[in-house]
This record gives sequence, C-alpha cells and structure tokens, in this order.
Amino acid sequence: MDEFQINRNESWMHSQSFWVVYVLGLLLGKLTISILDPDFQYGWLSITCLHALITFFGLHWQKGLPFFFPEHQGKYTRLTLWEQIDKGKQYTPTRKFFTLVPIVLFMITLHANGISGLPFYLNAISSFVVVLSKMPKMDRVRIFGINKY
Amino acid sequence: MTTLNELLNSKNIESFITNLSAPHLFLHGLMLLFIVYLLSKRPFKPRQNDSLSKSEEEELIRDWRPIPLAPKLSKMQILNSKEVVITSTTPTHVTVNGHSNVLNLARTNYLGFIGHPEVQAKAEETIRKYGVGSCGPRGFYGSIDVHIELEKRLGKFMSTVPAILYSSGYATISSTIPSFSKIGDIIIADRCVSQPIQVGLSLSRSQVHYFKHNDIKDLTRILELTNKTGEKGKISRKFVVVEGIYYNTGELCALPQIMALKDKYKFRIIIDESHSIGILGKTGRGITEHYNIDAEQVEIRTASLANAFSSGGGFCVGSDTVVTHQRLNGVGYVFSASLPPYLATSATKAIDLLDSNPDLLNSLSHNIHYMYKELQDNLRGLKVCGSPLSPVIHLRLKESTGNREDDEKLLEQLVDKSLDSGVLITRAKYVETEKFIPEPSIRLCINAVLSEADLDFAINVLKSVSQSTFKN
Repeated sequence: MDEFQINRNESWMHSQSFWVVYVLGLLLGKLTISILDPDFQYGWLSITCLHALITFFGLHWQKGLPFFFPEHQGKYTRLTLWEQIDKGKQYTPTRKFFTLVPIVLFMITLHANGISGLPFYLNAISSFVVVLSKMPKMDRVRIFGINKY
Repeated sequence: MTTLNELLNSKNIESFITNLSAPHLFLHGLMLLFIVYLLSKRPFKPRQNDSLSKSEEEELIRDWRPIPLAPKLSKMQILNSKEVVITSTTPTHVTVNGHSNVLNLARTNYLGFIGHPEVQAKAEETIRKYGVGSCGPRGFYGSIDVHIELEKRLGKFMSTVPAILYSSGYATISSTIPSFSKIGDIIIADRCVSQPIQVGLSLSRSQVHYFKHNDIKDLTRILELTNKTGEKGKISRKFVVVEGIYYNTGELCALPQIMALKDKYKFRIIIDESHSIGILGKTGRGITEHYNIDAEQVEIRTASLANAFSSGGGFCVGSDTVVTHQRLNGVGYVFSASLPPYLATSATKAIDLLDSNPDLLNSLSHNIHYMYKELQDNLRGLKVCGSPLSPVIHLRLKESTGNREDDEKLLEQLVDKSLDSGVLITRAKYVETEKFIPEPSIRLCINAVLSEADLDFAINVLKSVSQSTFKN
C-alpha cells in the first residue's frame, strides 16, 4: 500500500505486538483490582464492563480522525474507528481478534460471577452490545439515527 | 501473581469443573460455537457493488438543494453593472445609449489613435491579408511576421532588445510577475497598484508586502524589515513593484528615490508603464525618460498597448534574459492565442505615428495642464487628485458622507447628469476582493486630440453638474 493511503488512525491496530500488550493490559487491570482489594468478588465483571464501555466509545462512537490529514480528503469523517479498520473490510484478522476479546471476557466473567442476578445481566448486556456493534451487518448502520452526524 | 495463583490453584480448577452446571455449559458451548464461526469466516468487502434502491434514490433527490450557480450580487456589484453601450465612435466623440455626439472622457485613448485614418487603413489592409485571428498561441502556429515586426519595433522604441508581446494588456503584468517571482521570494508593492498587478502578485505565491502609496519612508521600513542576511537572504529574490503613473490615483511613481535605495537593499524593480508609455518624457518613452534615469537600471518594464497606442495586447522589455525567460515561463504568452495581426500592425503604426509626430505629446500635456488648472478651483464638492502630468485625473469628494455606498451613489448621479449634458465620464470601479481599495472617485482620461472647445465644454458641464449635485 502506498504511504499516503495508510490511515494512521487505525494502522496501529494491526500490529500483533499490540495485541499482546492489549491482553496483558487487561490482565494487569484484573491484577490491580486483586491487589487493591483481594476480597472483591466482582473483579472480572468490572473489567468486562469497563472494557465494554471504553471500547464502545472508542471504537463505535467517536468518528473521524483525531488530526487533520489532508491526504484522506475527509473520507473517514463520518466513519467510526471500527469502520475505518482495513478500509471497511470485514472478518479480517484484526477484526476477529478485537471481536474475540469481549467474548472471552464474557466467558470468564460468566464463570467467575455466576449465571443469575444483576452481575450476569450487566455482563451479558455490556458484552452483547459491544459484540453486536462489531458484526458486519452493523457496518455503517446508525440505529434510529443515533450518532448519525 | 494473585490472579495466576488463583487460576493455577488446584482447588479452583476442581471447583471450576464441579461448578459447571447445565446452563453454564450451554452458554459456554454457544460462545465456543460462535468463536469457531467467527474464525472460520473469510474476509470480504461489503457494499462492493451496492446500488441505491428506488426509495433511497428518491430520498436523495428530494433532499438535494442546488446551491446557486453564481452568488448573489452585492449592492456595489449591482451599481457597477450599469450598461454603457457605445454604437459609433470618432476620435473624441461617441454615441452611447442613444445619446449621440457625446464627448468621451472615459476611455484611455491618450494619444487619440482610435479612429485615426492611417491606423484604420493599416488595420484594414492587415485584415484583408491575414484575417482577424491568429489561430493559436505563439508557440504553435500563432506567430506571424507582424508580431515579430512589432516586437522589434517595440525594442527599438524602448531602445532595448526586441520585446516580448502578450496578447492582452491585462495578462502582461499578471504573467510577468509570476514568471520571475516564485514561492519564497519577496515582493514589495505599492498599495495603490492596479488590479492586473494585484492578480500577478497573488499568482506569484510570493511573500507580498505593501508600502503606503508613494511613501519612501514606509518603503524603507519594509525593505529594512525584509532585509534578511545569512542563508535565507542569499536565495530569496526581492522585487519592488510600482506603476509609472498609478491608474488608481493618477500620481507619478517616485522612481528616483526608489532607485536610490536599490543598491543599498539589493532589489529588482518591476514597473508597469501601461499609463505612462507614450505619455511621459520628451519622446514618450515613459517614466525613465521623464526622470532621466538610465532605462537599463530598471530590470523589468511592462506596458499595455491598449492605452496610449489604442491597439491591444501588451509587452515586456528588459534585458535579453528577461525577455527570453518569459517565452517559456510567461503563462499569458505560452497558453493564450497570440495578438490578432491587425492589432499588431495598428500598434506598429501608432508607434511610428508617435515617433514621427512628437508634437502629440505637447498637445497632450497642454490639454492635461489646462484641464487640471481649470478644474482645480471650479468644482463644488469635488477635489482634483493626481499629478498635473498624468492623463488620468481622479475627482474625489471633498467631504465624504462616511459611507462608501452613499459616496458612490452620489458620484453615480454626477456621472448620469453629465451624460445627459453630453460628456461621458465614469466612476473608478474596483473589484471587491482588492486589498486596498482607493477612495471613491470619478476618473477622467484626457487625450491629445481634444480641442480647446471640447475641453471648455467638458469643464463647463462638470462645473454645472457639480453645482446642481452639491447644492450647499
């Protein structure tokens, strides 16, 4: 790919070493919670919810580029960061990895915090929202026109 | 480490297995299936050939609001767009908008060569030989012997190497400036330079500084400001752009003072002599002859042939390098069709006529002086601006109403009234995007063939019109 076609807003997400750092970051988060309060039983739940919240706003809410890149001529202005990945190509390795993370987090939390009560619903809803937002069917879809412009 | 220990704790693993109930297993199994599904998918690009549905198309069409092709005219533009249609002409008089035999003081026909029988005969002869057009740029098929003759004649007239001929007076200076001054160069220009020069300045993409009109102190200040030394000072070229006679003010350029600064600050001079060639100097060679300055000291001189020589096109003279450089770098020369041959021959003829009859210049300067002296004290509410040597005379309001639009409307009334009384004059009109627009004025252009009776008539009309407009 030519140098000027690279979208520097998303190109860093393809790096495998970043993936490792990402996973380590999540584990570090859990570790911090465990150190701060060893008896806190909703550690994984808070990680899942926080991760869902941050990635939802980071990947599916914020649009455009953070800096002005004249070479892109505004073609990413109305696309979220998730839609910019791989120029909109679906089921690429990067997309698969970032979809796997919330699913695995859901499974861990499911195990750690049980299958009933408020913790389960929090876990299920937050994971469901972020995984659904990553599906190809939802590409460039703005439900009820929310966050359209 | 706690997490890892927890994970690896045998008790934990044991409880993990024993804790697995049917719903747990079901959900985990579902998730695993989903993961397998996700990983097995091949990448694809959505909307590869998606076309809009009928309803989407209609919605888009319904939502589309075209923006107007041309922006709405401003009040000044509407005022300036009044039509003046000239249907017949003699050297001094015209028929305009149905008024016949109107004295024309609005056109820059300084030496009165419009309608000159010899020029007309020459033009007719050329049209019979070459037709009316030249059919191409000078580089491709557009060069005709008459162009080369005119270039040689202009070179002889200005006592330099043959000039370079442009096909329009407007394009001359606006392509000469950008052909020499590029990005990173410095241009210092007078604030009152005319519009073609301003176009040239902005096309050059150079760093442009403006100094106050004819103010040498301000020029020195800016020269001091731009006097870079060291690495940067070495590579940037510096030009001072002035006009011989300023069309926007009727003032002469203070060339000797500028020349005195030239060696100290190391700049080149570009001078547009559109309104001073054929007017200033004993033999009409322009501002350098008027001030007795060696013409070779001025690097680049351009002029329009449409003013004093009543033809069309423009030319640029200077050293051989200056001229040759523009034959490949002057945008107006390379990319536009060359001057129609009959304009070239009529310009040659006009130069010959001026050279053979220098008395024209005496009668021109006599007319200018007469007009200037008579108008000086006799106009109510108007003051005469400009130099008594310049054929362009600006009449400005003594007391402005404080609002440009009202001022212009007042002057427009004056123009209308004087057209009814038999003198065609005009307001000086400017493009709104110009950087420093001069004060509103009426612009008179005096020419050499006006008789004493014509001048007296014009003065009387202006007097009575100004008296009826400014009653107090």
